[in-house]
Amino acid sequence: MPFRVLYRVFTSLKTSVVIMGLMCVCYLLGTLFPQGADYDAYVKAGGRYLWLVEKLDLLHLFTSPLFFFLTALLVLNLTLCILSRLLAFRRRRELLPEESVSRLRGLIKVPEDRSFEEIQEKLLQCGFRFVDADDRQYVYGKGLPYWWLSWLYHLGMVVAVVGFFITYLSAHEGEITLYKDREVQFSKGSPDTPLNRVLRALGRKHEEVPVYRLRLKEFRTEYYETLDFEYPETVLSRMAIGLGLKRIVPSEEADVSAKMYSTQFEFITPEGDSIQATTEVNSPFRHSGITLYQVGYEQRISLKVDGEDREVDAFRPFEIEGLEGRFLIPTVRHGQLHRKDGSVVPLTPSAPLYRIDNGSRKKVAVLKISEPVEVGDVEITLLDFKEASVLSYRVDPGVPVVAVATGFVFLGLLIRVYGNFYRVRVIQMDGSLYLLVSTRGLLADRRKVLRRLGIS
Amino acid sequence: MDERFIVEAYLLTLEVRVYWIVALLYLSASLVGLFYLITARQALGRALTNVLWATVVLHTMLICFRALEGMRPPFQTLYETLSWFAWTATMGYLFVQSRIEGVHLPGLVVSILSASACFYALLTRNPQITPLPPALQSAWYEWHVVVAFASYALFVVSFSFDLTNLLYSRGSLRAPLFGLPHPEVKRYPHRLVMMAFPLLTFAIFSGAAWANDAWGRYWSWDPKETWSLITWTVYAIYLHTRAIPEWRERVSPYLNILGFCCMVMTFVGVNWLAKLLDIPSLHTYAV
Ligand code: HEM
Repeated sequence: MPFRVLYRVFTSLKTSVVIMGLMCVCYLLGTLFPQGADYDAYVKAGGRYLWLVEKLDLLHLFTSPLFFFLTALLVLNLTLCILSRLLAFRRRRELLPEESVSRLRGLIKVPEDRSFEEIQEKLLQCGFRFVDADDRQYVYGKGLPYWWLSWLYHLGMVVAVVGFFITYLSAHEGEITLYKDREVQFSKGSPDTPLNRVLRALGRKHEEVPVYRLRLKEFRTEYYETLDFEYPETVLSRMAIGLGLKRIVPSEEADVSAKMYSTQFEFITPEGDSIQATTEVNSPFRHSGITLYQVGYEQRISLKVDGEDREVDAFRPFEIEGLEGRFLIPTVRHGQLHRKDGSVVPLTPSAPLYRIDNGSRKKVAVLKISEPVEVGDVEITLLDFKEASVLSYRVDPGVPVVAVATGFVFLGLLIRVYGNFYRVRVIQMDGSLYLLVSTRGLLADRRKVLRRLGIS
Repeated sequence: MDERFIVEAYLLTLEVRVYWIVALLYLSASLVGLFYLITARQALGRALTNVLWATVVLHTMLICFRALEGMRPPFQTLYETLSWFAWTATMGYLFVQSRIEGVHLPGLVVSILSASACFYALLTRNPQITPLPPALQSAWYEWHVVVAFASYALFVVSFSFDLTNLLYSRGSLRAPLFGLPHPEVKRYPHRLVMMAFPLLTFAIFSGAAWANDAWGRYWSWDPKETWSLITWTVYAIYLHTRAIPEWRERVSPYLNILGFCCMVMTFVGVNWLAKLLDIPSLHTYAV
């Protein structure tokens, strides 16, 4: 009976342990090899274990057949466990079999002067409810049934995997760069999702998807005032600070660091409705299944270098004739400055100029708008800059499924682990009364129940 | 030079010095613990616990001071989270230890870990207090970090108890001198992992929810995320082996130790193995 054998294997806890172990090995490989990297770039960078990388698709491990196979095994395992336990619940009997009662361990003898009615009344007073009885046993219970909770979070995990799969099949995203004078369009659907590729292969035509439009209203940045300190690099000097032989010295000038950036824009639906929207880091804009995120910004910076106008991109290294090495301007800072004393002042647009030396960068000047600065023998002036907000959009129908499922997993686990669950069995045997108390959950306290029943 | 600069530099110097004292106290606790392990004298065991209590009081003040200095939660940079890790682990241990009579040995493990975390922070990280960047200004931030570190603390304590239990199960004749076997010390590792598991689950889920708000993707398979999933799965395996009678005693303590190693990798060593095996990262991990 191969089916029966398979069913037994796949409903066994040992099998889940093995599968989860294999998944761990797979995850581990995914942390070792650069995911999403190009194979040729990997080889060029001196990448090793090429045979394995190629055979197991280690650079795209989490979309590889190996990973899908293991996940499918886990889901099968979980699903069969959930089903088998559902069947077991139906057969579940609260009453212990007659023949096992006398052999039970942990039975507590009730003192002779306590009657069954007294115990029962105390149990009801403590919030226990009657569960079942026969002519020798009475079963009382309190708390949520833990087996249902455990069943619920295992089910939640299956649903979560379904959600991940929906994400894999149909999520898509892209980047939008918004300059003030340009309208940008994007569409809600993409022909390149795995689902649409499969549908196309099956002969279905890609339908035209509605197009949304965006117009930048304003891009705002705010900065904090920060202080820099000269903290030594060597271990010995750091120890010297700890021993009181040296101290931390502040730098001469305050610096700034980003506090917030936000974009105000007009969002125009395919029907032509115009919505005034705002998005910030950690506060995306959501509309009809589309989410727009603030990812960053771009700047084109105009400089005058020794009398000649030129443009450079923020964060992109460039060369200056007459000077050695490469240079970089991270960004022109402007907007509001939140000072340490609590005041907020407008920031004069300025940008640090760095020289790049062997991968490390050194500040050589601070460029302030319209103020010429001498670097070596070269005069450099920051003339102006153009700024664009960079947003990303994402459409992911898997998110609500994953959110609900993981919510159930967490709540089920939390109540199962931290809750309390009691079963108290009152058993009549050989003319005496016995109690059998079983508990589950970290807050369940067996001794407390016995104390409240007056049995120590 | 602006006077505020000088005051801030002075306060930072002061704070770094107190941090050194805290680290040295953890180191002394470790040394007391080592002597206890060698001599098995109960008085040294008690001294270990007392030194840890004294250290944690000073450490609590240090953390409050840092929070006031920065006017924000004191767990943003690795310099701060290492301190936070040492503090939560020691607090967790002392809380559990106070419920058990006469067992002090797990304190040796906890003090070595706390001392290592503090020295690692002091010797390799910059103590500068930086304000919260935009990505960290989220309602999820505090919850995510506090709950993750609460789970780490419980895992550390559980690990220290299971290591102590192994001393007994390995047949050490001196085990009775350390109060072993002890029913509570045997019971606690599983209970602590049970407590920590939902917290780690929340930490991962809240991290995903936060990533969904900040970066637009709830999961990117970057090494930190993946290591947290490895840790979570190893502890899930541990909990399952506890439900398999023949694996309960033989396999689960080793899985607890493995889970702890994975937790440390998630916290500080995500790219370490790849470097060790000389595999280039190409900076394209977080795709
Ligand atoms: C991602 C995979 C899984 C995770 C994270 C997980 C999580 C857990 C946790 C935390 C516990 C211990 C807490 C408790 O006792 O309620 C547990 C118990 C248990 N799990 Fe899983 N589980 C997974 C997969 C499975 C699978 C595939 C099976 C099927 C064989 C299974 C069957 C059980 C059983 C029988 C218990 C025993 C205790 C009980 O029912 O409450 N689990 N699981």
